[in-house]
Amino acid sequence: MAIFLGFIPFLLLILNKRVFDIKEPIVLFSWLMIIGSLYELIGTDWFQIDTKYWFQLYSLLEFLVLYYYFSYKSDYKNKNIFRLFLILFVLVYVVLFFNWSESNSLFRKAITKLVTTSFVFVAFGLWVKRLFEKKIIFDLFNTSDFYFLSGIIIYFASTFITFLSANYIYYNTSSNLNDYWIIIIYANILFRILLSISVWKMKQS
Amino acid sequence: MENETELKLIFWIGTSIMLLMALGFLIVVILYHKKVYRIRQKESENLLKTSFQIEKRERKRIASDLHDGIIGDLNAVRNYVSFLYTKEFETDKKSVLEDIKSSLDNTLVNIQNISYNLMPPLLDSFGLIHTLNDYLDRIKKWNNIDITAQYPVRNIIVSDTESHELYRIIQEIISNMIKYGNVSKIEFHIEKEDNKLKFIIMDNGTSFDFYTKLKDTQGMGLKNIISRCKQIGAELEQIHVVHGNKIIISLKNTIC
Repeated sequence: MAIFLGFIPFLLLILNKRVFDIKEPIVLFSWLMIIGSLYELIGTDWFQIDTKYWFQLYSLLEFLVLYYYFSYKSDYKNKNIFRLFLILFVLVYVVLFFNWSESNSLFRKAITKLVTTSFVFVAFGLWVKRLFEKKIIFDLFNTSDFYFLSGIIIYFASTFITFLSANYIYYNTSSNLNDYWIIIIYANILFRILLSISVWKMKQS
Repeated sequence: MENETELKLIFWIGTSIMLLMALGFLIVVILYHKKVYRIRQKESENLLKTSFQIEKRERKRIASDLHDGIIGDLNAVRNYVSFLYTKEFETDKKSVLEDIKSSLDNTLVNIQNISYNLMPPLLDSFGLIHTLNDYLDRIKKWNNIDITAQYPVRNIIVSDTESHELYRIIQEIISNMIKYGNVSKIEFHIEKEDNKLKFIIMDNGTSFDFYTKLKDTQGMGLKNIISRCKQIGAELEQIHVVHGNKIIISLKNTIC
């Protein structure tokens, strides 16, 4: 279900004729979502390709898209804070990339998620600050960004501990990781629904 | 095994806390946003009210300057020209003086019309119904349109601001009908219903949807109509008719 929900934002973009409107950062996220869903469907489910490679690439693409989104939405202000996170992420990513091994995929995921989640929380706080500084305030429930950011915040907050502890659970306990991974699936479903609403609202705004 | 139960417990408590924190933060943002939204809306309403009051005051001042200053001076010039005309015997010069007089007459009429449009003098002294009647008479004369006006309710009590805004609203609607609607007939009447005073304007021109036009338009005319209605707590309703248009402006809480 989560995989198929990943197609909806992109289908809505086709319907709105904004597939290549990359000036709107949500469009890029919809692209990432459909690429992820296609990989999971074709690569993982059909051809049984290991998710490690996709995890590695997805972490990078996800951060870059979020970086572009928040930089764009803040009119490229707070540059120093954003750059600090970019440098930190690139450093962490490069170090982890050169320490690649078959067995540390979940560990790499945990570390990159830690940086991305911190970035998302800080950038969201800055977005809220800017929202109330503006002279003209729009109805939140009619803005595309509100749905996207709600989805992002809920997704990152609810999956943070799962990603952080996945490596430990997998290698140090006899528990089934899927018992914990279920939270990521539910968070994904909710996020994809909110992203679809966000893309739909993009048309109206 | 005990450790794993503890781990599960910590995991779910941690995840729940993170999720509740995110949801709590979102709820705080929504509630605070609502509050700020209301404050900003109130601020913009006050700003609009002030700008309409300033506009009214300035219109009054300019109309009075035009009427008492320029029209007076032009009348004096016109009298001089008339005097020169009576003293002149050469036909060529008389013809020139006659042209000047005629131009001055046209200018005087134009300035009187501008002054009237800026602030009808009757509005303050004789009230809304007299002013509307006078305005419709002028429109009838200027545009060769059949205008029927009925006032079953004549004794209406509205405040200065209300009468000024109602006059501007009706003026804007009628001038739009003439400008864009290709009308040949306009009907206007005032009705009293419960605690509401209704100003009904009908025409036989091209049909249009007021609120759709309002969304699409880049101009200020229709937006000003809505802002003025909001300013006095009036409602604008469009009744769909087979031919032409029917617009009703309802003013609440008026003592009739």
